[in-house]
Amino acid sequence: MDRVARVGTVVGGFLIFAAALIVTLELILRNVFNISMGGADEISSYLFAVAVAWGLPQVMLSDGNVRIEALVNTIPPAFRSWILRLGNLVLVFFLSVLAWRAGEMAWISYETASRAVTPLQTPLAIPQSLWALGLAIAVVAGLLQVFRGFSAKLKEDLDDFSNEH
Amino acid sequence: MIPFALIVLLGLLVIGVPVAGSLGMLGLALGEGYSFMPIDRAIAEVIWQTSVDFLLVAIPLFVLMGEILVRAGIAKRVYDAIAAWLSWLPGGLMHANIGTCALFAANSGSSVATAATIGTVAVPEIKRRGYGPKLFLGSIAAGGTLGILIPPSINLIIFGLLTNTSVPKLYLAGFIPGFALALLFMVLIAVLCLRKPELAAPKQKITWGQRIAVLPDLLPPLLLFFAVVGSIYAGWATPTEAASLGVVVSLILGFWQGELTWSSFKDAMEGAMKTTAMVMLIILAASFLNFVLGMVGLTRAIFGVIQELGLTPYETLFLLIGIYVVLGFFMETLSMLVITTPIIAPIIGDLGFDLVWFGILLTLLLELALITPPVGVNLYVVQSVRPDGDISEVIAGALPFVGVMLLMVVLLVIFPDIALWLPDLFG
Repeated sequence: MDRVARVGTVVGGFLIFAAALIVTLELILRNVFNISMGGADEISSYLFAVAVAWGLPQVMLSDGNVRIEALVNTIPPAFRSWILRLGNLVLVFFLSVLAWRAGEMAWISYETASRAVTPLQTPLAIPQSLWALGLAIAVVAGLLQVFRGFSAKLKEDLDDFSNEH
Repeated sequence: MIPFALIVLLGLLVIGVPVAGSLGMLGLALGEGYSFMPIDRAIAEVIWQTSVDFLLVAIPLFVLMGEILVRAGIAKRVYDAIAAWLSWLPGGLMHANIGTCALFAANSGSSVATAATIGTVAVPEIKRRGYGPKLFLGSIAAGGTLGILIPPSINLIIFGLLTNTSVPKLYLAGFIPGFALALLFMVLIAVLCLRKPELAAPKQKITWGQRIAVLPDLLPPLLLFFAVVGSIYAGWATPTEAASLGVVVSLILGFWQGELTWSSFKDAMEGAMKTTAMVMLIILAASFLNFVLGMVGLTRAIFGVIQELGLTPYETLFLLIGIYVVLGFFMETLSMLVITTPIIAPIIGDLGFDLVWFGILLTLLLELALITPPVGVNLYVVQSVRPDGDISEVIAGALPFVGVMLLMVVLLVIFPDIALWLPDLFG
């Protein structure tokens, strides 16, 4: 999983860079040579959406999500790490609702062969399914991180317990 | 509905649910409780539409541009060049801190990146030249906050998205307040150092020949600024296209002028992706909540409560400013921006204030939040590039700048044209 997440981040980074190149190329062609390729904005938007979804597993694994620390610090330290895991679980729940509905949306787009209302007429199922896939992996990564947190904490508490006795 | 929303949101945040999860769950809960149609069915559609919003593509691009600039190593030369021009002022290098921050703010969309970049090159000078550390550190923390006010700014893009306000207009509106604030910072430093000369180090003699010799070092940031911001106002590029151009130009500058290598470029991409994914998750959740709030009419309900208070628009405005200052002690700026904007901006609009102007006012308040403890991200960024010393020195040094920012807030309320003159001129 760690490797999958890492690869997702690197690929995501390249997608963003590719988006930058495509958009710049279009910009130069349009302004300097008066040629319009069209669609650079659309393609880069898809690249961006997919890149973000594929970058999420790494964020979930590294526990890189922003919290309001000032509020979190009001929790007694003894419970804090347990409660933070539960907090992560809530985020994973939200993500899983999103991922589920995203998968459904991609499937409907595929079944109805729906296309973007743009000159490119992109079959929406392609970017949407890649997007949903990233979200689904992020859900798995999030669950794994919660599990890892719980088991590490459990081991720690058990060790403390056996040391005391 | 208002108490329900407040309790759910605070409850989730208190038990340590990440901001993205809290916003999303509040959206689901409000949809479940107060909407006539099943909101969770719409979630994918709403979030997908935000995900493919071309405007937002600018965010990773500006982040990537910042990451490349940090690694390109051009900051040191720019700093030395600006120091040659500004350090004759009372306060010496501290003016270079502000000046370099303002210039990098014009290249970067983020305050944290600005403070980190300038901090890395400026902090070693404290010991080398013998400055009093406090005000020097404060000037970097405060100067760094200019990153989100002087265009390009990532925060203004997010504000534009959540309020349907034109980002080029917001950028134009940020110019004068941004540079005015930088000027006020410098006046503050000069006044403090005239009264207490021991805050600054002995001056170094710099000849006019030296000053002219360093001018070429200022070219890269100026070039980048004209490529990014200039292309927007020349009508050639949208903000996102300008950001793409910025990535390409900074890459060329980095390889040609600086120390960028293939492996540091890969690091830059990975770093940018991590930041982007983290930030976007919050924005996506916020956009979903924004949609739900509109559906269930929560902002209308809050506006009703405010009207019952019987305050004048300006009293309400100052009440809100007060709330923002207090929130700024405890909240990190991105969370503050995405949690409050969907609720507060419609109210501000209903009160008859201009949303472009409010975007700038809000950005100033966010800048303030960056340097007010206990949660002031820039304070920690500056502290993190120091070899030793206590964070309390950074906090104490930033305090005078807090005063100047509050002054700027008041000025902006009394004279809205500080922000609106440029957009009106070009609009």
